[in-house]
Amino acid sequence: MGEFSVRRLLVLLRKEFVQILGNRQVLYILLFPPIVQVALLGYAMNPLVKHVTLAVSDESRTPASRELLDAFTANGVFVPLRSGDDSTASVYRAVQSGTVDAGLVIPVDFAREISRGQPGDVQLVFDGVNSFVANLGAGYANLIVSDYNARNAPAAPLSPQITFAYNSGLLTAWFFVPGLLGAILMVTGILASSSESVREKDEGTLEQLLMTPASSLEVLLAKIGPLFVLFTCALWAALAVSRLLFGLPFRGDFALFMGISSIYIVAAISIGILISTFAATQQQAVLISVFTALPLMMLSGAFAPIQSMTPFWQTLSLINPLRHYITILRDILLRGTGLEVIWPNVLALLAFAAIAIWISATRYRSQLR
Amino acid sequence: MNFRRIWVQCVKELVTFRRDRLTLALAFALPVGMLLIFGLAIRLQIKNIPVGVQDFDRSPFSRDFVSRIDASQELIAISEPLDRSPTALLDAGNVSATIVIPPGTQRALAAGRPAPIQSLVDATDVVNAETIKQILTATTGFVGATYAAPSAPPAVALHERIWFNPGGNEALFIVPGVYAVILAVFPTLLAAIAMVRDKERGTIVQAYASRLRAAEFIAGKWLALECIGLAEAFAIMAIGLAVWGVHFAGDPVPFLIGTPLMVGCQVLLGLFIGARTNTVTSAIQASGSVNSLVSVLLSGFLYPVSSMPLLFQWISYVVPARHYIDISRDAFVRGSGWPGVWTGLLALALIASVLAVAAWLPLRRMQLAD
Repeated sequence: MGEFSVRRLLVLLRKEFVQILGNRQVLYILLFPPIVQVALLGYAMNPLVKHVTLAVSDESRTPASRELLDAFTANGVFVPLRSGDDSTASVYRAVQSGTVDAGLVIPVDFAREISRGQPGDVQLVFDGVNSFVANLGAGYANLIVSDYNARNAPAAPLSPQITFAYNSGLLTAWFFVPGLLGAILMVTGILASSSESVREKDEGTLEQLLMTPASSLEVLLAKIGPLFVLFTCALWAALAVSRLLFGLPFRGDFALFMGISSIYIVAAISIGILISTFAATQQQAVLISVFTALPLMMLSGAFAPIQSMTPFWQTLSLINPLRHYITILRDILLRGTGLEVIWPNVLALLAFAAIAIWISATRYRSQLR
Repeated sequence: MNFRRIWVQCVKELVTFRRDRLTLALAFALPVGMLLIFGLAIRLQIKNIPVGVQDFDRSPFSRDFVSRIDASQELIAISEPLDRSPTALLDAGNVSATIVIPPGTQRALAAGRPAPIQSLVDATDVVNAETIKQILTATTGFVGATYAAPSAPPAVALHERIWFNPGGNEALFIVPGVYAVILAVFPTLLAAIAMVRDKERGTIVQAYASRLRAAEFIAGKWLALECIGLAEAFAIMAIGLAVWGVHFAGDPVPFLIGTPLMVGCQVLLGLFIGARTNTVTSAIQASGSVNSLVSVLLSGFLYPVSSMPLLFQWISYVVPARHYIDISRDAFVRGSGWPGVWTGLLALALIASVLAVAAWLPLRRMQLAD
């Protein structure tokens, strides 16, 4: 065994670099998808409901009802679908069959009620199959109607003055890109490192590696090295692309960002190596990796909010390194805050990486049995 | 096409699969585990956003206002010290918005003078920000009307109703979507590995040397993996029924046709990836990371496809999970059957035929590359 030797580590590092750089296909497949995915998904994904298709039955056919319809469709949240038949029954049928997301019915006596000083009743029916669209859409509809009411009445006495901080334009890409960066690094990192390091076992070269005087820690660090360099490059490139495409701000400290990202990348790679010590074949390694990576991604707050989970899952998500990394990314990139706010998250990441490497190192030698 | 040869190839594939006990166990345990984790944990309905309130008014109005905000399911009101700036409170990261109720608000309201309530909202999470805006506007409208000098009633009263899932049971929204994600991820992985492993180990040469044709080779592998995929589908749906009571809401026939089609598409995609790549690592990156991410994020599983830019809505038409989610949600929630879903079935059949040709092309000569 002997003690830790830097020279041996360097030799092992060289072996791993030669192996990875020698395989062009692996290189492309590790470098390009993260960049392309951040660009495409950052552009494509929109958590705010838009283009809700709306079937309309305007039985009132008055200036007042047309004005209300215009208000509904003015800002692109609702898109009216006109068909030849605009009876109330056909609107209900359209919602029933799922061809539209919502149906709006303005009854015959709408304008008459208003002119008599009564509120004019309108009915809005949502297809609740997508409860997310239904809920957020109902919220928008209420905003639209209260705006409409305010327009035709003396100024409302109580009005909220709302300012959006850090992302005043509510740009969805600024919201998603930090989550995407973290999630893609995690998914690619786990998959690549687990399948790369289980390959030695599959091909039988692991025994040779373990017979050398190198310690488990040296072997592990050498395995982490090339992937670490690759993913750091991918992170830089993805960050540059999102700055170019979405104008993603970088308001915090770059050195701090790089330091923390290194810890995170090491954590992701070591999860993969840890998985490879349990798996005998690449097939098993992959199945376990995907199974680990997807829940880590979905339970991180990148795409689905953490506060909405039950307390059990919220507590469990505290051991998810991706959750901490996303909090840190949003803080550094968008808020421009520093260590004084994010130190608990940084500590959690550090602890996670250290524990993952330690368990892998202890299991590494015994995995052949 | 010789059906006996296809059958033999299929049996060989199933025997290899069964021999690897751990993979067999994983192929069923992992989808079930994923269903349980996603189905129990993921909720999109916004809840419990912490909002800091600085109440300078300290009047019956302001107390009523704060308690109404707190009563909403979405927000939790937290009283903050008055001497800190709203920006500093947001920077500290413990609250997602601050609300300042200026002194004299209640008096201004009673006198009919405008009374602004200021709010600074952390917009790093755009969904939270939008929700906070909606709730603040609704609450000020409601509470303002109670305390202000009487004015005319509103012109329009909106009555909204949500059909099919009126209780807003989110499991009914999430679980049929998770079915699609699982069937998009696991059969593809298994198929890609089954294909590329033969190439990496060199055993594919034996298939090349035999009288097996490319179409028969692919059909045999496809049949075996289709069976495995359908068994996975059956397992997760049985658990969906047992845990969340997710059952057919109407005519199950479109769904019973759609599920084999969906599994078929994903298996063919896996075989295609396996046929195009040379090493397991590349096959995995393609089928594992790209396919999984796209199936989760571009399928409408969480956020609606209709909100995406037009270009991506078109792209999403080639993602099988997107069509299958429509079919699955219709079968388990809406229950109106054929009229809403026949296009999805047609699309799945089309994607499957294109993928079948795509997987066949690189193998058609049944020879090693020159």
